[in-house]
Amino acid sequence: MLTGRISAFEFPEVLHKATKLTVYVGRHERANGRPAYEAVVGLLRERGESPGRRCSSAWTEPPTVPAGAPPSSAVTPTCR
Amino acid sequence: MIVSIGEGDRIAAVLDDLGRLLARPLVTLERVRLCKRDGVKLAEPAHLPETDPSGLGVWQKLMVYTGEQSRHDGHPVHHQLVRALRTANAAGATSPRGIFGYHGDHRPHGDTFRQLRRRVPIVTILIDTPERIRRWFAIVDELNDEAGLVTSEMVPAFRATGPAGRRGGLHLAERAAGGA
Repeated sequence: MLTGRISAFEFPEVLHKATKLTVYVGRHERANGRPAYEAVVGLLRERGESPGRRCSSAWTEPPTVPAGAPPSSAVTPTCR
Repeated sequence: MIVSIGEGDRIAAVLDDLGRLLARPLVTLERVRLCKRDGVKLAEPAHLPETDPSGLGVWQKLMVYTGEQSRHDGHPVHHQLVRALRTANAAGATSPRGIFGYHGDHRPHGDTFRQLRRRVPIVTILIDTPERIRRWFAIVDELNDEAGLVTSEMVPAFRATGPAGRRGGLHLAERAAGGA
């Protein structure tokens, strides 16, 4: 988990292959004048358009767990 | 939260911009294995041991990233997946809807004001023992034959609580070398 000055992070060898990046933002959080989730997805896509700088996918989920408990052996991404 | 899968160096390259974009950035990085992309199988989930050297249970997770519009035999892929997994007696699977997303060269998709069908992203998640995950991957592989992304990763602790009682625990198993 990284917070604060995340750019100073040095990647360990094990993360050099396929890596899952999860960015946590609030429902009402804004960045560059628009919803933060849109800005982050826009940034990932923009960087993906540069040759050799592609993030293969980005998926945004609502920041709250839906009402009702999930089945006993199932999880939602926010329960990790 | 926003989830993105990519090569480590490409993810690293975007962290700097993310740090500038967000007032209080909070991100996590995890090692995963890319199993399928756009219907093409790239790798099987890693064959992990059922327990770590100290005897703690090891679990594995499959995440299937599709969209509301993704189809198999004319039906939404996530519906087909959950039905097939249930028929095969998988312990559980969940398909939460996202808001907005994209993959590869495809345009970002999400709901818009004027539309007849939903176009939001969906991720189907299942967690089980490594041996059973190999079985469930065969089903995922068969049904996810055109679009989307499938990843696997090790889950070092698992606890399920339900009417039948509590299963598993929260002590972290040791990560197997190269396991994802």
